[in-house]
Amino acid sequence: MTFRTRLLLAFAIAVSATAILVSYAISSTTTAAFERLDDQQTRQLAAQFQREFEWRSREVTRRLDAIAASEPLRHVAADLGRTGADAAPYVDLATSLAREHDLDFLDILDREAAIVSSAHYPARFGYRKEWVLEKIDWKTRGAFVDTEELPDSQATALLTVRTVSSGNSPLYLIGGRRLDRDFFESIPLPAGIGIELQLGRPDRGRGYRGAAPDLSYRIPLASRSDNLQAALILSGSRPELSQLRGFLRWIGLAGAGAGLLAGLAVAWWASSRVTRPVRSLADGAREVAAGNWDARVEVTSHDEIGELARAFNHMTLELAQQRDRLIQVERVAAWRELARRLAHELKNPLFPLQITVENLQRARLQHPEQFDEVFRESTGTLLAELASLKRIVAQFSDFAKLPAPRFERVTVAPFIDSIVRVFEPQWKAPDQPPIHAAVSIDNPTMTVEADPDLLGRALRNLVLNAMDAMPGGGRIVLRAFQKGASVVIEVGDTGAGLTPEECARLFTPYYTTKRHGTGLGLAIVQSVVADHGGRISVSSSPGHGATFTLELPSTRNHDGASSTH
Amino acid sequence: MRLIAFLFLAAASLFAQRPRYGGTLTVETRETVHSLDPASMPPEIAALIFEPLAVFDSTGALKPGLAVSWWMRDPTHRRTQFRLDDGITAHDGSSVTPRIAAVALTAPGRVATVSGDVIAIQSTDPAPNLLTGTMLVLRGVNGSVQGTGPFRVAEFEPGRRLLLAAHETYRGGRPFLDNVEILFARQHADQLRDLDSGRAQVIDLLPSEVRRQQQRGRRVWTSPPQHLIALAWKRDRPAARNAALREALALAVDRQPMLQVLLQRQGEATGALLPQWLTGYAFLFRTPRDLPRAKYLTGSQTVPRLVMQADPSDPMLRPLADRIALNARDAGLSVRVVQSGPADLSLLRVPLSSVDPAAALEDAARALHAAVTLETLTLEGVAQAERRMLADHWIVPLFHVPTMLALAPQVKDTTPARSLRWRAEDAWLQPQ
Repeated sequence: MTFRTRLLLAFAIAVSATAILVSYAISSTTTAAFERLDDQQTRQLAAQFQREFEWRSREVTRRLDAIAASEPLRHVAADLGRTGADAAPYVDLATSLAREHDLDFLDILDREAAIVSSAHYPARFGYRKEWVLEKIDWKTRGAFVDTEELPDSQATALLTVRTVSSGNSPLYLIGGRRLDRDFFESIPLPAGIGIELQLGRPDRGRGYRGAAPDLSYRIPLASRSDNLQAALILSGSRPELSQLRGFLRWIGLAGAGAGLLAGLAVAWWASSRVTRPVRSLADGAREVAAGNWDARVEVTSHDEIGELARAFNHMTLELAQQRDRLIQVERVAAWRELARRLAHELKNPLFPLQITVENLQRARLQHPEQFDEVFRESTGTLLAELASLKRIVAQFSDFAKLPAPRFERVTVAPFIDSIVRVFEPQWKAPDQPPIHAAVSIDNPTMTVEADPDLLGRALRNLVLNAMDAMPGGGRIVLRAFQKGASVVIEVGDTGAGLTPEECARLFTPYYTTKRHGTGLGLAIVQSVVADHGGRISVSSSPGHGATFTLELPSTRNHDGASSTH
Repeated sequence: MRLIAFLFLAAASLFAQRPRYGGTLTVETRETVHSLDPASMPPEIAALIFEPLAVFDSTGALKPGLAVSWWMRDPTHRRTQFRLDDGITAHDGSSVTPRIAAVALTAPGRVATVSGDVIAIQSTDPAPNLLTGTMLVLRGVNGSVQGTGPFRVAEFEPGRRLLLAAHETYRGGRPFLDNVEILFARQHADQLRDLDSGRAQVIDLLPSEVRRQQQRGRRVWTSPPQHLIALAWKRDRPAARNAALREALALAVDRQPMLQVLLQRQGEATGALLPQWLTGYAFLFRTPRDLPRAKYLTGSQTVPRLVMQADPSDPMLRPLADRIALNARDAGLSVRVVQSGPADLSLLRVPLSSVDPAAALEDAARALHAAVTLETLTLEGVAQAERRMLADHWIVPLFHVPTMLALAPQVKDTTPARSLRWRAEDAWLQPQ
């Protein structure tokens, strides 16, 4: 993840989270305030509804009182109070009384709580409702909720009980209204307020019917027994509140969404603004790494980033200056080294030349009779040393004027085989320490774009170095394999190996570990590898030989740059 | 003076009691008649228009009707011979000769021939009750249906109204009433209202209304218990094939409270198909309630919910059905009462069709969709057949109830006591 992406995420999260939290807080607070207000209104409604319900209860009681006080019922009570009275003629009485007084339920019971007449379940005559005989003052007991049995079902009823006394044989009246939708719809309620009757037993939990409301208010009702709990639930699914809540929710969501978008935009702008100078710095660093020591970064601010840009520019300026100084120093050092090497190389053959000429002079003067023989030996020595001088000059000349490579597609396998064939006779010469060659090519068809002459010279130099490192014979390993977009060629030996210091200086021109040699061989190898856009490295440790690794790009672009992936 | 006043009052009283000719008697009934076929109309209405060949009297003895003498020598009861009464006239005034009667009596499966003044009827199937069960139905010149009874059809609106006019030349004497108007399919509440308003003079009465009408000074006429109220299982229903369920329901029913309260003691609880007064052995079919055994029978199995149908047009049946359902619930049976649709059993009211026990049992079995095999026509044979019918509780007799009519005060009649029908032909309207 880039720095800009992290910055973008950080800004976006910070701004968005803030916006979302603020939106949520505002909408929650507002919603809570409106809900409190609505709850207050609902409570008022509930109180009003409760008063209305109680009035209906009193109405039921009043109607039953009217029945109890009516003449027909007093007559029935008097009649049934006689010994041996027949209740059969009154089996239809409750039906007509209930209809007359607009009651849904009416039972007339005798002194033993046996039903004499039932308006809602006429067939139940003779069955008993013994609970009516409980020691309760029904006169003062108000209406209560109970379940009433019907021929095919049960119904919830608001009932009251009255006693009609006649002598020692009271009649009991149980009457009431059905608690159903019609009953509740007859009680005026504001729009959006619903009412549900909740019946349940304490051990069975709620017996709620209907969908969960937005707001609810519970009004407990008196029931006949503790086993039956009754309550009215006022549900305030008021459309205004729901709409308002929805509106606030949408406002909050819109605010959060806008905050999110704004956060993203701000984060994008801020991260872009912050990372632009950093990118410039990174680009400048890449240019420097690519060799453009004159790369500079534009300073656009006076803050830490500006300070960093100025420091970078200063650094690159210093680096360029130091590079120039280093180049000069290295150039001087190289000239000195060259002069030293040249002096060293030339001194070797010059001294024998001088001795030989002095011997010739001496022989002519002191031993004229040996002059011809001395002349012959001396001229041979002179010619050999002159050849050595010429070789030295040629090497220096070669190194100085290495030609520009001319690239072509070279198949690695036969190329290395050709190198090996050059040296094979020498390795197998009977008077030479045996050198065994091991060639390992990963892919016989592997190719590399290279100058075959220059690359061949470089490989021959490495092989020569390996042979020089094994004066007593040994093993040379030539290996080539594909590594990504590069071809790697390794030349290894089993010689004495190199110390780390030697490895570090190995590619310095004129540096050599051999007693004789210009020290240009590896420099030539390095120059060839560099011209091919590759790299050369050495791995070695004392006593374990050395392995030189050439890493060359497989293909080159049209502009001559190597192609890597 | 006092004597004169007494004589005057006696004469006035006598005068008030004497039958008077004229007037139209309006009868309302919950029954409905769609055809003038006597077989498809209530017997009390058919008897006003048509006459059988012979009748049973109140003691069950066969008395002459249109036939004055008869003989059945065929032990298979396929051949009946009789001689017609003289002076039989049809409603159009034409004389009914033996030949005319023979033509009228010929029907599919039955051939009537005349030999002199003797009519012989040859039936394909045994017809032991041919004389009492066959009414003479004649066709008028214009093809209209007519009989020989005390009243003729004046107007007929099928299902709504039948207007009968007095048969002037009825051999039994012209009826007192000029007309009898019968209004069909009248709801009970409408009948009561019309009786109160004077629009009707005779209405059907439910048991619960008997006392109230008497308290209002109206005469209530009741017949002997001649309607059977019974439960009949539907044999094609899976629940009905459970013998334990049938027995449990039969044992769960508590008849006495229903008789005392719902039927207001009009009628009698019974376990027999035929009433005690007809057979004399009905008391042998006992009907004790055995709730513990009923619970035991239902407790040992999974009991399905039963559906019982009660005819909605008979207001007497629904309260009984509800009570039976309640009794059944006490025994662990769940019974739902419906007015129509598929049902496992039905609560029916079946009228007694004849005072002949064998004929009555056969007709009752037909009405209850049950099979009956009468090995003999004797009372013992009838009893055995009845016992076989009731053995597996496919039919559960509950009550025998009478026909109950409320009569307006101005309606007078000489219907004999213990008559199975109120005789409009013997009624007159007293001026108020």
